[in-house]
Amino acid sequence: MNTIQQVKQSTNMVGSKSTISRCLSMVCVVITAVLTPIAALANSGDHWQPVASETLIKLPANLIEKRIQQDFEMSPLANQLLSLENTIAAKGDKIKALQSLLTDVSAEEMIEERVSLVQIKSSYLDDMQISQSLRQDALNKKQYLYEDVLRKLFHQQNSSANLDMQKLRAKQEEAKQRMDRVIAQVDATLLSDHLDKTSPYADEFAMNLGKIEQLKKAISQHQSSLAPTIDGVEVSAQEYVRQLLMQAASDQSLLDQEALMISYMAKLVALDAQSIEFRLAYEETEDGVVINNFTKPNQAADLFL
Amino acid sequence: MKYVPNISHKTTFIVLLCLCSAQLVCANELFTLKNLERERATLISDFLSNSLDSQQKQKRLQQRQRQLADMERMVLRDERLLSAKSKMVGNAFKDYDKTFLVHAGAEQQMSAMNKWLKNVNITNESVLNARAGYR
Repeated sequence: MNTIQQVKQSTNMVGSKSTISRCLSMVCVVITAVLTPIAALANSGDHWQPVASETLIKLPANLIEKRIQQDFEMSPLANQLLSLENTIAAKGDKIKALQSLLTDVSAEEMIEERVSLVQIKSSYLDDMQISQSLRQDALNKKQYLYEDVLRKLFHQQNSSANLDMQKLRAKQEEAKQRMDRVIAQVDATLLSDHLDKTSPYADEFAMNLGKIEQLKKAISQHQSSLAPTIDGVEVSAQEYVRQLLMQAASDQSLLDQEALMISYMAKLVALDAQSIEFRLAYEETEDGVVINNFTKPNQAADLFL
Repeated sequence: MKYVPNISHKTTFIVLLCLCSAQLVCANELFTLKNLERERATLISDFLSNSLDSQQKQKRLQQRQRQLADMERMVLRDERLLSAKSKMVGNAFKDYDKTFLVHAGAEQQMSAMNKWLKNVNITNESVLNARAGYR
């Protein structure tokens, strides 16, 4: 009876170890997949399609960036990133808890916990990679958008229609200055020519003018209408958008670095998994569990006596 | 097949409607300038009119000048004109002395009428030296 129980126990142990072994093999496969660059993941982030619309171009340059960021934060892509971030944080907590559990335990003990630690790490890295791909996708779209905005700003400034309008505006401004020099004189002349009162238009205009000046002053001092600045120096809209593109390029470089870090972490997890798998295989042969499954003649000899 | 004429009629109607609305938009943008042109033409017409006696003419011309001064200011302050893409606007600002008679005249201490006479090269001497004859 004892022999049968021993046999059953040993069979169970072999079964559980082979299950763990299979799990570890799967983890290895998943990690290998993580280590290889997957472009297809980026397709899952097609939930933000920013466009350099006329409304966006007409905004002050320093608000363009804020508007794009606001648009991104309202997109499904940002929501996806947020939920991924929550999952990653939860998994990070689990990893920390398991690591603290395994701190004072020898390498041969708590194998199942070690395996689940490797599995959670692998899943954590999967999520990290998806998050990184999504952020990469968002950054690419931002870069294209900034380029589009820059191209449109340049076109807007240098289009022939705009140049004509600028010339016309200059002429109108010049004419207005010429009129302003004699406006008091004209009013005085008209009043002295037996006209008892000024025109309603002139009265109304003069009344509104003071208020308009106050409003214009308030607008020019408003924070949202201030010209874009870089390091305290006022810059043109084009210069500001070029600066945003440079910022996007540096973000791109940091994202590349993050991808490298993820691949190194994945490699470490793969090595952990291989190490546990190797240890299990090694224990099987050293403990003689597999050998014990076979009935030896000296164990069977008693049956015949 | 019988629907084809209907469709072509509808298309023509829509195209005409678009053209009319485009014209309307342009007309609205030029509103102040067209008013100025009309007012200036009326001033010159009254100035040259023989049907008014000198007192009536004087009074009416003073009123016209005041209206014209207002119109000139409106045109000079109207930013909608810049987006009108019309030659009329370009020409108006190109020749300040001819477009803004009241304000251009004031620069030389002249009335709008005298300024107009100067623009068309009619002086006291040229009038006095003129001879009646067949053209």
